[in-house]
Amino acid sequence: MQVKIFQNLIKQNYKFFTHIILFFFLFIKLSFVSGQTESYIVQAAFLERFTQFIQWPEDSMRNKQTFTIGIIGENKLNSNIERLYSEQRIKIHDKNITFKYFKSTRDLEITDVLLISPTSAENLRNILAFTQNKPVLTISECDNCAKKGVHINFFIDKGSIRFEINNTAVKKSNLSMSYLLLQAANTVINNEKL
Amino acid sequence: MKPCKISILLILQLITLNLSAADSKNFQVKQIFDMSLEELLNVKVITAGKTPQTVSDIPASSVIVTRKDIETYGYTTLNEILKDIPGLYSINDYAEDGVKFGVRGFWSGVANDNIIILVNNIPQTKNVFSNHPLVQIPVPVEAIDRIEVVRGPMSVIYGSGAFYGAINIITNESWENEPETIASIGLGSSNSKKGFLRTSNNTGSTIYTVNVSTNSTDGIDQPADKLMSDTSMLSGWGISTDYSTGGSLKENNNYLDISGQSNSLYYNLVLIESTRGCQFSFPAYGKGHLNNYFDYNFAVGYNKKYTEAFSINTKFTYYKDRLWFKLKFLNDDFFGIQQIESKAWDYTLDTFYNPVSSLKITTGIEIKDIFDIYNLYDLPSFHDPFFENSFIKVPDDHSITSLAGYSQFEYKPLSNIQFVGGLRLEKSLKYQIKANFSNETELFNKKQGTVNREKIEFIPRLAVIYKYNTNHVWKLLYGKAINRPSFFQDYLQIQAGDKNLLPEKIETFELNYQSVIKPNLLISFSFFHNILDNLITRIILLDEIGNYDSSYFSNSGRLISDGVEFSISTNPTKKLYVQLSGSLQKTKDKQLGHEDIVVAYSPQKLGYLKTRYQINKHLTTALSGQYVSSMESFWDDTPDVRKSIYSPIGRIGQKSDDFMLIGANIRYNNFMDKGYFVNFRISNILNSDIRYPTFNNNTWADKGTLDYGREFLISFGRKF
Repeated sequence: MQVKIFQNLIKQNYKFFTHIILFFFLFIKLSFVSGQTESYIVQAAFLERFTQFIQWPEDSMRNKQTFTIGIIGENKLNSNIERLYSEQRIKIHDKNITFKYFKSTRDLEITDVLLISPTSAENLRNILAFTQNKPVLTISECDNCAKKGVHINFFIDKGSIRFEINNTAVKKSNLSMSYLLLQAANTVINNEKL
Repeated sequence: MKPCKISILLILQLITLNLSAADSKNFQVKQIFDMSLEELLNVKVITAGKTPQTVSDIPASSVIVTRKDIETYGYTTLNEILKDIPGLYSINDYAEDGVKFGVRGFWSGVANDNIIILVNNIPQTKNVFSNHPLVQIPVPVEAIDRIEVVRGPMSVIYGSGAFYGAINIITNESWENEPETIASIGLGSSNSKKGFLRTSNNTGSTIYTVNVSTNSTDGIDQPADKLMSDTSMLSGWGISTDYSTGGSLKENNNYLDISGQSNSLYYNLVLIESTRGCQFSFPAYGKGHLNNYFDYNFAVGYNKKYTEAFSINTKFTYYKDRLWFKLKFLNDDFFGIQQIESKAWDYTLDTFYNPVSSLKITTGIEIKDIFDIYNLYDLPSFHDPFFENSFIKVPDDHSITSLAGYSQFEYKPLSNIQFVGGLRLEKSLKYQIKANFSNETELFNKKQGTVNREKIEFIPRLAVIYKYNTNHVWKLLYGKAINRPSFFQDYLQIQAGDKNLLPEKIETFELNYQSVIKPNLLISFSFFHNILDNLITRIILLDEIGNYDSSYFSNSGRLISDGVEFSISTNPTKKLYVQLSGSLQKTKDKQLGHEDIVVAYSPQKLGYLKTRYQINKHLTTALSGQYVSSMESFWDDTPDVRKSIYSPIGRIGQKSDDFMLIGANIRYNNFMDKGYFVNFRISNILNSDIRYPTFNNNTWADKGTLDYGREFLISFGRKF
């Protein structure tokens, strides 16, 4: 008896229920479409902006056809940056960009920028030993990595991307960083004892 | 609207919305890349996809112990590491299953049967007693890359037995690091010797890690007069009154694990061979009782990421564990053995689905089959037919099978709030137990029975994680867990002719808060409320005039625990680190008739101190301490035969006093920049009496059992 009442209810109101279901489906799809941005997209954009405020030594840039970005370890930024830059046709210092992927610290070569993923943080000491005093801009996203010697370290605060800069390490690498970039950073570390 | 028109409309919606989703995303990326530096700082982001999870992201109360922690504090055994985990405390009653841990005021007396211990994600469960005795998991500390201790009911993920959580010991993390070799030796007090070798290699697509170790010790040496009130009783057992435990608690452990990965395939082998002395029931005669363990488990799995959003992990594991227990009582001619063995396999399939970055769904199935399990007694020296060629087993054409399926979601609608929910359905199929005795008598006519516990268990879990910002995280947790009776408990019920036991249950409510007050000051608080129900206890039946009639096991135990844990970690200077943790808890016994009895083995206060000082880039010193408040011993309801009317025996021993255990360590790393290291550790630096209250296994030690006094260990090694 109760089943019959329920069936009648559906029959009499099927248009209403149909619209509700379609609306629900539409709502779900819209909620997947809109909303916040993936953090790696914003980080990739930041990186491109950073290079506009940093000067590499002339002798490291002279005669170079491309600007190289090295990547060690895996995370969303490292896995997607080449695709993003290709889609957006990004150039840095008027040079095309080449990407080099390193599986371990033993494979490292000199690049203009080195992206270090959190999974490689334990190798950080070895990585920084390699890049120390070389004009390689190191960028990471891991706890306390700026204090450990990484030049620029991303973190998230109240839902937005922020970054901290180890200015001492930047100077030791012969890179020149604009005051405007230092001003935009959340934290600037100036400490001779790393 | 006709049905076919609705279908067309729906399909069109699907197509258009998918296209618009793709277009929208492209447009969004372009917008981002067109923004200025200042504008980028204002963009709100989703932060999913960051692996591994940070401790603040894990929807449970958790502690991570790293290799660096282990080396800095100089822990010499897995026991020492776990003792320093807030909320955990241990009791060593000298029995064959070794040191047993209690968590948040609950200690069951069965070695770690309410916390799952895994090695490289493989449960190290011993099936006869459904427990995790550390004597059968002698992972050398030198092999440990990381220990993840997740506290709270974890049965949704791990199934029966994860009452108080899970301890996962990782020894193969060098996969992600540089290939490395570590070799070390150690010498110390109580004739302790250790040798360890580790090698790992990474050729890109193929990776392996091998850990092998051997260690031995003469064990705890404590005189009988410190353990017993009346040593004259020793002569009744053929032992002199100047008896000590020296020589009867020796240990020798051999350990091997091999882990490897080749593309998506991985494998894991753990092999253990140990011998260990113990005490059981009466003081052991001569060189004491001897246990010999031989365990191995081998897993092979496949881990594949099909798309950014979908991956699977499937694994098949084979287990074998065997214990030979050789007893020695009363005189040189005594002969008695117990042999316990089980063989099992399990298969798991887990799928991980991220339809969108804010939602992660994990589902899994598990099938476990224990196809060979038996317990054999042969103690002819007891001259009791019950103990001669007494064989308890699951018949050859039967096995103990359990089936489970679970699903868990993690949903992050906003970057600062996460919901986690899960449900596990688990069922154990009925099985038979058969017992054979060499002399069949009336007493043993109940020697076969069926365990029928086919009801589906529903095990839920809920958590809410709120991150006000990266500095303040709140977690509200709720979970249930079960602990199914073991094969041995089921057998005892059948032997007694009593009905099948039900799984024990725990329900936990917890509120956890973590805060980074300043960059170098971290605090954490947890408030918990645990309800333990259906605990297996022994019920005494009295006749009409109050005399003892009979007893049986039933699920009538109930405990309620309320408590708070706190932890403060700080770097007052760059070189100094201090962590102070503590736990206050009160457990009440709600079993009928036990309301006024103080719960045994349940310290109300626990304290932990860890501090380390980096003298220079090579040299570190560290101090670790644990405080455990007093504990009552077991309350025995068995009738006291000296009384004419029923009166329970009551406490089987004395209450133990508070104790403090402090260890110190100094380590020199990378000597001559060639990877050499030397480590000097002192345990129980104050030489305090670390006394545990008496337990059933050794009631002769009515003053309680004593742990090691002051011990030293020096080790040398090289990492290259």
